[in-house]
Amino acid sequence: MENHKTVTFSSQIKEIDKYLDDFIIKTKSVSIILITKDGQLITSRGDVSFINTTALAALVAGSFAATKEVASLLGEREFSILLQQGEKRHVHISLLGSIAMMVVVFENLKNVGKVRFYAKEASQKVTESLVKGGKREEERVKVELSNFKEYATNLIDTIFSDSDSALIDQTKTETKEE
Amino acid sequence: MASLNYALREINFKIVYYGPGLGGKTTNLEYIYQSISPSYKGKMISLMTEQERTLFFDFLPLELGKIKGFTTRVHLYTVPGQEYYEASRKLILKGADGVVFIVDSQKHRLNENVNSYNELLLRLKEYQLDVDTLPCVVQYNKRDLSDINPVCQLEETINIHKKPSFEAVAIKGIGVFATIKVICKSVIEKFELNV
Ligand SMILES: Nc1nc2c(ncn2[C@@H]2O[C@H](COP(=O)(O)OP(=O)(O)O)[C@@H](O)[C@H]2O)c(=O)[nH]1
Ligand SMILES: [Mg+2]
Repeated sequence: MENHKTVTFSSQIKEIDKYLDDFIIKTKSVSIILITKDGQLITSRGDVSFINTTALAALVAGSFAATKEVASLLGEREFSILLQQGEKRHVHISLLGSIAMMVVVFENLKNVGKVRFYAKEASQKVTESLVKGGKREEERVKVELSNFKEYATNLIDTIFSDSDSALIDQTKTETKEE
Repeated sequence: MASLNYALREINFKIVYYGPGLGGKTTNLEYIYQSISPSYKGKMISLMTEQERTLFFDFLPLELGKIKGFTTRVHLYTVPGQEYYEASRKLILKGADGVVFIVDSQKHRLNENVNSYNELLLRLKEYQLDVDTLPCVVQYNKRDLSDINPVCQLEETINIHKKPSFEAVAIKGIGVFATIKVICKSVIEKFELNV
């Protein structure tokens, strides 16, 4: 199924972070950000203090959507690697199967070969870790979930408590319950 | 489908505003961005063309803060309306926990609404998402204009899955909060941990 839920566990991330740290040392990259293919952050290593990672994740996923269209114009299914060259910083993006994307930020363009080589290696390991699961933690969190829903629902009311609610009520059509 | 990250203790929901081009999707997000308290909103990103129409998408992350130890976010996306961005629409829909379908109520846009809705159904099917169980809200926008279809007709022609629906004038913010409230709540309600 293509549209599966992404669930990542601490044990997996620990393993993945190890590979990513190793990658950063080998390639002298600035930072590495792992995101799901639909634009959510999984983990990040190195220096990300200058990056809005939430925005970056969404934008990278979006730009992959765009390049996918370019790919299809050329009769390709998709491009597995995307390189964006800047003045000072460059970005190397690679696909990890159908689940995730690995975004590498590096500064010395001479290292692009290394980045490419080790990215391939790292992506195999990371993909393996992502595919593996962690059942126990899932069970534990299940208990917290009912409370979670109640809190979240109340919060939605707070965030969208409108000053012009009278207006909204007036134009509201009946809401059908499913 | 929501992403749940135990290491970062994060839960992210994804809601996609779908519908024909120029229907008011971006306007909905802009109103939300302008109207909610700064503490709940992240940076809004709009990728626009010169004609002010959405190129890839708009993106607005809502920061719900920590709930039961989990940093919780709702990511709002809009899809581009133009026909040739079909692949973009498909990818943006990937992983969606809920969909808001924005209808342009103007009479001459009826066909575009229907086509867009049919395309949505097709995409959902490709992702093996069941339209009957997927949280979805329909918004009839541009109710301030004069040459519009009556709601009962739109209900019959477009809202064939009988989803909750709202009338709206997005440029004035009317109906915008009502819409997002219902979609957020149904997405949260449906959230489960069956991996
Ligand atoms: N009259 C009227 N115009 C609207 C309304 N909502 C949006 N618009 C206008 O419709 C146009 C397209 O809106 P936009 O949000 O960009 O549509 P999108 O393509 O679905 O993102 C803009 O010029 C908006 O100002 C509405 O409720 N009433
Ligand atoms: Mg738009």
